[in-house]
Amino acid sequence: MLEVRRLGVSYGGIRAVEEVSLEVRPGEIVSIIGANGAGKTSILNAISGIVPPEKGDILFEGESIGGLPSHAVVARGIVQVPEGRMIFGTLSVEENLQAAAHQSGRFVLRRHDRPGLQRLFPALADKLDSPAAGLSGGEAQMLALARGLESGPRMLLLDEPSLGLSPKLAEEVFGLISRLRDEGLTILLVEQNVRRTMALADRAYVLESGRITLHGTAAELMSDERLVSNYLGIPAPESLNPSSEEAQPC
Amino acid sequence: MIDFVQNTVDGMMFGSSYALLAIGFTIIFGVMRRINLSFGATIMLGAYIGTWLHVHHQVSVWVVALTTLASTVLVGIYVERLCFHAIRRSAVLASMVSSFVIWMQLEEAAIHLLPERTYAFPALLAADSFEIGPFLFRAEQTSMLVLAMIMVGVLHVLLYRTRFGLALRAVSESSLAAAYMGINAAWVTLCAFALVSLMGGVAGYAILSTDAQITPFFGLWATFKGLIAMMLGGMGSLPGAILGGLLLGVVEAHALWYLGNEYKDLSAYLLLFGMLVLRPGGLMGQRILSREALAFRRV
Repeated sequence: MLEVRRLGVSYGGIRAVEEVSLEVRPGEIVSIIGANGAGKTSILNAISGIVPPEKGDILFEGESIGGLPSHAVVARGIVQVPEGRMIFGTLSVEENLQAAAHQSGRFVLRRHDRPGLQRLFPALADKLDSPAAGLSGGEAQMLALARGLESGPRMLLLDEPSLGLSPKLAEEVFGLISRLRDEGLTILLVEQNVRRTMALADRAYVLESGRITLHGTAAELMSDERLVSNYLGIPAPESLNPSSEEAQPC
Repeated sequence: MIDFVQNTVDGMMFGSSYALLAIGFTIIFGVMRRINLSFGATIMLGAYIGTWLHVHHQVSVWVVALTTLASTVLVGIYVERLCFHAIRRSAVLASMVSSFVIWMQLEEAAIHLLPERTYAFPALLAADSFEIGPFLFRAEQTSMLVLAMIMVGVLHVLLYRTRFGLALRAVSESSLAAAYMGINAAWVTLCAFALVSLMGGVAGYAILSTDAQITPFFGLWATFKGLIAMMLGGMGSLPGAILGGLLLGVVEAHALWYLGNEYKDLSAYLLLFGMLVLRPGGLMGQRILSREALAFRRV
């Protein structure tokens, strides 16, 4: 569904991403893990057209989207939910959602029912008219996710969706991500919480200093000694079963 | 007492067109976080093109009015393409300097178009007046107020009831977040320029009709008045721009009446000076700032 080929991204001459290739198949949750500054966000930003790729190409459903402006990428069905949520604090919750459905609506704003919102984000559905600036951190993350879904994407790029949330709220977010996959969305996930992410993801790529150093299915990676000691800070036990692990922020 | 009320009413009428100018600056500041110094010159050149048609082709006043509006919008789009779209967002100073350069260019263009110092500006309404009780109303100033009220009403509907207005508000808050959501910020900005140029064209036409003459200095004058009114109200605040425009008009009207013509402009600068010392954020600025701070803390 999404194929990134030998992608390179630079900021003012400083290389952030070097020749990264990765692939996401329909219906998968694929995760990119790596330390701060490894270039995870840069890869997502290049896919969603926020930063231009310096070299390489990005294919979505067989067509090149590398270098397209962000509104064209959203129109193709890829939406990024950025790190730090970036909700519009001066707008109401309803307006945040409508702003995201910018391309697919009439000129005059009109409220419409959102059965999906009621089902996935019941807490938000009661707060449509409150200013978004007044939401709690968990609600703001829910709004960021709901807003990302508003334009009807087929693929979501999630950048640190559990950042700054309590373990309980983070668990809620991970639950939502898996529900979204069950509803047919394809997800590329960047997360600090490696243990929890690996329990959720089908496959993962490990990014170090702008390069992919490891990739494989979640089970394969969790049995990799180097990965486990680097990212989970413990020696790899013989039989680590990721799905039975408790969620905890790293 | 009657004089005082009369001056206040006159000031509010004239101030309504200051408010339109200030709205032009404040919307562009909101969307781009930059000041478009050539806004006044944009309106001036638009009005010059209308006047040129009148001088050389004796077209009717209606054609002059419509040409003024249409060419102001076109010149506004030209300014946006050349010194805002072409310069990257982070280069704030570069685009401010370039908007100053474009201002000079537009002024040169106007002087080449009509080389004499002043020209009569063909007004839509004849200079007329009517009385209500002890108060005198000048027709062109009353129509200025009515036009400004219509424009503000249309703007309000556009900003709060349409998808374009929502996109504009979203870009004003965070152009990056708007880009993530698939809003085409470049297109929204271009439309915003066209919109404020149209409003500026209306304000300019109304002011020039009252003056009944046009000079190339109108650009400088309109930029000053619009910037002062915006800063009085608080940068980036729409209600602030309206309040600032009305306040500026009222203070100028009183200065003109009690102190004389030479104090009219001085009073505007004194007012701005006082505001910057006592309340640097402007009338409505402080609240906007604290709301943004709140949003930042939550996010």
